Amino acid sequence: MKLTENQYWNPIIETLPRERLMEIELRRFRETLRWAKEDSPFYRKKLHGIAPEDIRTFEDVAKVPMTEKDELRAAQEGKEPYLYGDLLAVAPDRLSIFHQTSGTTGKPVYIPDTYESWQLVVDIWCYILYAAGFRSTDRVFLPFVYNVYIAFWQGHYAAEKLGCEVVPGGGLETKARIQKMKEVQATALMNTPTYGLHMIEVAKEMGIDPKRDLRIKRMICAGEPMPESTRLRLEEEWGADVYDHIGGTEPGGWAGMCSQKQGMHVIEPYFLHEMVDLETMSKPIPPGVKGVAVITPLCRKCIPLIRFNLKDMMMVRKDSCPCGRTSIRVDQIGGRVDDLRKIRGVFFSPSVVEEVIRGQFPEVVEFETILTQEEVMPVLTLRVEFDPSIGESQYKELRSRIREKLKIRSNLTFELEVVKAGGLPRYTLKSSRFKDHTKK
Amino acid sequence: MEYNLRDMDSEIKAIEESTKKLKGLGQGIETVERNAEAILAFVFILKRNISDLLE
Repeated sequence: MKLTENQYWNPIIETLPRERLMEIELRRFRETLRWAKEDSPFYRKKLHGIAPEDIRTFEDVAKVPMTEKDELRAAQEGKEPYLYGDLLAVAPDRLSIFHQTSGTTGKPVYIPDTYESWQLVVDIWCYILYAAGFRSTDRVFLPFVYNVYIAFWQGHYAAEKLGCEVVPGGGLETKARIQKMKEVQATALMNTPTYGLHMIEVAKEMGIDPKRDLRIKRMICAGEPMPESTRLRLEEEWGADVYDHIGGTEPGGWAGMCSQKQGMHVIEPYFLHEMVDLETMSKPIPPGVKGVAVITPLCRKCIPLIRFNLKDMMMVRKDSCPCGRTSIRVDQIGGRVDDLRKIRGVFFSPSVVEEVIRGQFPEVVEFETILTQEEVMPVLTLRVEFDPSIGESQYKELRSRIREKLKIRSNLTFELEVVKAGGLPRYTLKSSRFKDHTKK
Repeated sequence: MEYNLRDMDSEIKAIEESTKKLKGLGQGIETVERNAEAILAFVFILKRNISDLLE
């Protein structure tokens, strides 16, 4: 096997022919099924009647029942061993680290790892960081208290494993973090898109221009979906290459952007990725069609996850990537299925508001969308906070342009409310810019 | 650069074997057992990253 450029974490795996990747994934899927059935009481029951050796093709994979998040909650609730219940597929004394989901959509799900499975999670993140250009010469700043959430723990340990010098920037105010990044001359940053934008705002208040006065050359974002318009705005304001990745507490990080910045490469053959259609949530769909992603981590042996319905809307790209990686690439399109609403007969995803605002209105510092019900009619209100340097005389024109662009993009009419400076919440980890007040 | 998967796989297996032997020799000595376990965790990853790719 001959390779020339050192642009891959694992040049052998990342350039394997697709047929070979698929063979390995099918074999690993069978092994994962076998292990899950043997060691997890939840899956022993759920997969009753399914013989791993019968899974020979991707069509066979699609016949295996999907796992929903609610099932994970139910399998943990009130069951032994405490916290993990019927899902756990290793002896509890082998566990070495605890994480949990944020609880945005319900009771948190607890996801532990053994030392071995955690090292694998970290190695998978190395694939993501390496593709994003992180190298041993980087000094990486992480402006977060990592807490019980997996994202920045993975990033921290993966950067360390790559040989980067990691600066944990938790426990500081935003201003102190910016000062620290300047002091240590950090060259790379891990961030949520929201906090990346917030730091720009705070840095400017401090008289610091991130592009001119800091040395950040690359940034990887985690924690929330990032529309392309937000990514481009971050690149412009930070003067850095900004990369996205996809991950979650349950599967860990599973896809990342390469230097081409066109979609995200699934880290194959560590994950078996499928797409199903939006209507039935079960029928497989081909590349180029928008649907919902289903993922199976293939080697992380602690809590099995078979065909996990991520409920994230995506599309697999049809084209091959000039970077030479042979893995499939996905684009995140339209946010989460849970956030989709049918308003006045039109499907609405809150992510379109972010696309419009971040892509076309740099004057907007922060925003939130509120859905209410007035008599029988649902009403969408966009609350915006303008940059303090914008004079009130410009508000009328801006309001009208924002409403017009939103109407074109979403086919819906928005009410618009201007909020005084600092009046809207600022987020660090998961943002919550859509509030549905019609829900009881 | 040329890579020889079979030679790499042989070395990975040799590390695994000698680490298991070390763990056995150090049974009851926590630092030997735990560090050997840590090495085996990395062997697990090397096997997935390299050995698994052999036809």
